[in-house]
Amino acid sequence: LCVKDNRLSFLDIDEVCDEIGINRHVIRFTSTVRFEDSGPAIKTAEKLKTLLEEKLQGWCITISDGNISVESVLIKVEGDNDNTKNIYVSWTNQDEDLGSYILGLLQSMVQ
Amino acid sequence: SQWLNPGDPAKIDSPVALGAPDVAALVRELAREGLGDARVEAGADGCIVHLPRHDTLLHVERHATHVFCEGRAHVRQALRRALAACTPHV
Repeated sequence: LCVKDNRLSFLDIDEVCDEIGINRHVIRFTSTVRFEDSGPAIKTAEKLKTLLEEKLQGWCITISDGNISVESVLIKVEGDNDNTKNIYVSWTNQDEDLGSYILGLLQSMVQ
Repeated sequence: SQWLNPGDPAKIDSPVALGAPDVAALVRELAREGLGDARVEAGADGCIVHLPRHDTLLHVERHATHVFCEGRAHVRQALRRALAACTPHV
């Protein structure tokens, strides 16, 4: 909550840092899950998006060029058509609960 | 729980970092958390802290720290506590 242009405003932390000229230091975590799934990586990504939509109802889940985003959480699938896929799950420190939930979901899926 | 509702994630109890962690302090805090195998290498815009026994790399740069952690959740929580202890934040 801050005074801006003589008005009380709610600003998120990024807006506050911009207002007062502070550069945030972003802390990001990345972990890898190995997943046996033949076919192109983008098909695996589409399956993961469907799974996340089922488990994270109400969240905005987007996919672009095979990369899935939920808030600051990014999920990227890499691998050849017939090989094990590497799923990279990455999230900022502020989204620890969401990131670790998604990582746990993917880890339980491959076990 | 199996389900996570919008608004649940702990955005408010994770401190917002305003600068890079002090690397010497970070190594001390990692050791305090039981992650005492840190090796530090200088990089172009910061350094790399390697924790080989815990399959973890921390790329510490001026505007960002990227943690590549293949360890279990308790290792990541120890890393978060160590980073919070030596990073200027609000």
